Amino acid sequence: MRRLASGMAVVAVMAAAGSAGCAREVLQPVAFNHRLHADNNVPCLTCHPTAATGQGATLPAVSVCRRCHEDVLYEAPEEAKIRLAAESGHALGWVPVFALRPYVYFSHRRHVTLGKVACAACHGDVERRSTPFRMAAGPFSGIRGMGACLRCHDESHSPYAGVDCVDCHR
Amino acid sequence: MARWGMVIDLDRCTGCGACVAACKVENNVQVVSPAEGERGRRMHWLRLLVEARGEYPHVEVRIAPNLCMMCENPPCTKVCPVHATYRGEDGLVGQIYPRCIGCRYCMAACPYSVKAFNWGSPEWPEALLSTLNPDVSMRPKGVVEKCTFCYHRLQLGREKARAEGRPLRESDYQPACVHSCPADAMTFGDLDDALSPAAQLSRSTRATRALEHLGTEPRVFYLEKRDAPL
Repeated sequence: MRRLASGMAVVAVMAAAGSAGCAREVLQPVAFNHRLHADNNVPCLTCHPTAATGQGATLPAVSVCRRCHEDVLYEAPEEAKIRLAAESGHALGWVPVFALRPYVYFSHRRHVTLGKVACAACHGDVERRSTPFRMAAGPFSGIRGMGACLRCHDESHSPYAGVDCVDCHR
Repeated sequence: MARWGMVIDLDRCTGCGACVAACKVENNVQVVSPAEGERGRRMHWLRLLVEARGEYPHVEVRIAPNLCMMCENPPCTKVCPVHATYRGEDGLVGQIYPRCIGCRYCMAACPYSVKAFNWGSPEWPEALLSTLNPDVSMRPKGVVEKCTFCYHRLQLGREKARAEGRPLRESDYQPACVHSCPADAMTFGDLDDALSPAAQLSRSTRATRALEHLGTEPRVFYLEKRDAPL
């Protein structure tokens, strides 16, 4: 436990030092409304399918949006941007808002598919957001740091949620 | 919990170097320039120790792969001032790079000289960038690194076993060096499992461990060469 506490202290200091002044305000290409999609029973994995199968959750390509927005669902300028991007062949250019430090290894598949951890456990109440994220990805932006990880990894005592440092830092 | 260990049959090892290459590729181990290499800054997590005995034409060459011994009683963990190297839950000796301050005490303490220091930032030719393993980090300048028994493969093995709803099998977890050995000189497995080939070989009368008198209790066993007429 002493080892773990020492490690946490070092990581906390590094996170605090690294996060200062790193986040910047950005404008997303489309004023995406998570709440509207969630209310229409679109689960997170529809637009972020690799969260179930891969290491990263990734941001959706235009083709993913077009699965539902092939035809005009709403006479909204934001929806028109999707059709415009698809017709021009350009990517939408989402700006990532969640990022981990390069020394943290995190597998979405391990947590979402195998661990049955809800997206909100780490990402917060995203499905209640009606406005797009405005802060670009900085160190641990949006994620509540290692303390949040340890709520499961330390307190659940699950055989699958270990506290071996090398599980995530290698 | 499994006690992972390795047995290397020196009679089977041909010194082909496949394990060295596999280790480098699997773990994104830096390739340093010849000039840096001359200064003793070669980066290896696994290297071949070569010893030639006798005089021509009666020469016997002995080759032994040298990697982290994953000691049960590791000297390196005891000297690390920041707990960057430690024995994990699996009994494997881990090295946490973000925590390492590069003091190199662990390198001095390791009797097997299997740790390497990053004298420079990782630089990769453009052509090799696509070959980097995303499951293993790129170690920055100023930290010590070493073999992990391909710990990321253990994680992937556990993940696969869990997804299939079964316990972890030995075949789920094999380090890259073992996987690549064309002569089957390396055997990896649970040393506590009586049915494991690695455990059986480790109990062979030919089995020995490097610098055993130091009491480090390595988990890497070597099967001595059988006496052969020169």
